[in-house]
Amino acid sequence: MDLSLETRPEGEHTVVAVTGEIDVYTAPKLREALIELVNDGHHHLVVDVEGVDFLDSTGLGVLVGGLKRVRAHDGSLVVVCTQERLLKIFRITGLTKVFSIQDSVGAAVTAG
Amino acid sequence: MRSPRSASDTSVALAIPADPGLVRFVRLVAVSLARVHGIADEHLDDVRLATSEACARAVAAHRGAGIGARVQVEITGGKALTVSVRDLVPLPVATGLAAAELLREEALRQHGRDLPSAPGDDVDPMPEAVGLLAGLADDVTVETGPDGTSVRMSWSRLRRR
Repeated sequence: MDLSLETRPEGEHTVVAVTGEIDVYTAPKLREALIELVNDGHHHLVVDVEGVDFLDSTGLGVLVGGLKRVRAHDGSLVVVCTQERLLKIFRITGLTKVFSIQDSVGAAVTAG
Repeated sequence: MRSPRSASDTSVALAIPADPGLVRFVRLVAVSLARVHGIADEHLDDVRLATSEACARAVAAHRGAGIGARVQVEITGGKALTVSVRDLVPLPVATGLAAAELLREEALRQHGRDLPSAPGDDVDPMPEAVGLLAGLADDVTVETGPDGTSVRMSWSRLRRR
């Protein structure tokens, strides 16, 4: 499965709903999308990975890169994820300490 | 009813071009074989991700070194499922943590070279692929040498949480 991205405003936040597989091949597409959003002035991002069925370390790197970019503008990047298999990867890599991970877009908007 | 294959009656070798778009096929094969070999469902995601990470690393190594040869993947059943991924980029001889450190340095070097002339803060951090493998497989062996790097991961069929 390829990667698809849908972007929508949610109050002052911009939600990026990701579906498909984020791997070494598809991660650049997400990276470019996040860079474009930040360059266009969207500095409060919610990345919803509930529709993602595979996430590798390249994908994690892209999310961390996105976080660095929004923080440079005093922004935020909150991840929406309830899938145990993805949460496990965030835990193994220590990224649960880096990201705010919420269980719904509503909670993410409140947190971010 | 499907029963797990006995001993080493299946071993599958794949040779893939160094193309990131092909890594997903390797993980599909690895997960299919893990099922055949009786790896518990709750560990299939570990096999999927670890195989993908090891393969992506080897593909990136070949691309970074300009090596046109294919990356070798071998998946073997038996008491444990073993996935071996081999690249042909020559490195000093090392094993274990020293080998993992060599791979990390090598990956950082390639990562830096792949980047456009962007300012430093526009760089996505380099993922720690080998460290991630250790959290996913029962056993991981890394060996580097003049003939390339071998990353070998295994999962016991009887593994329980």
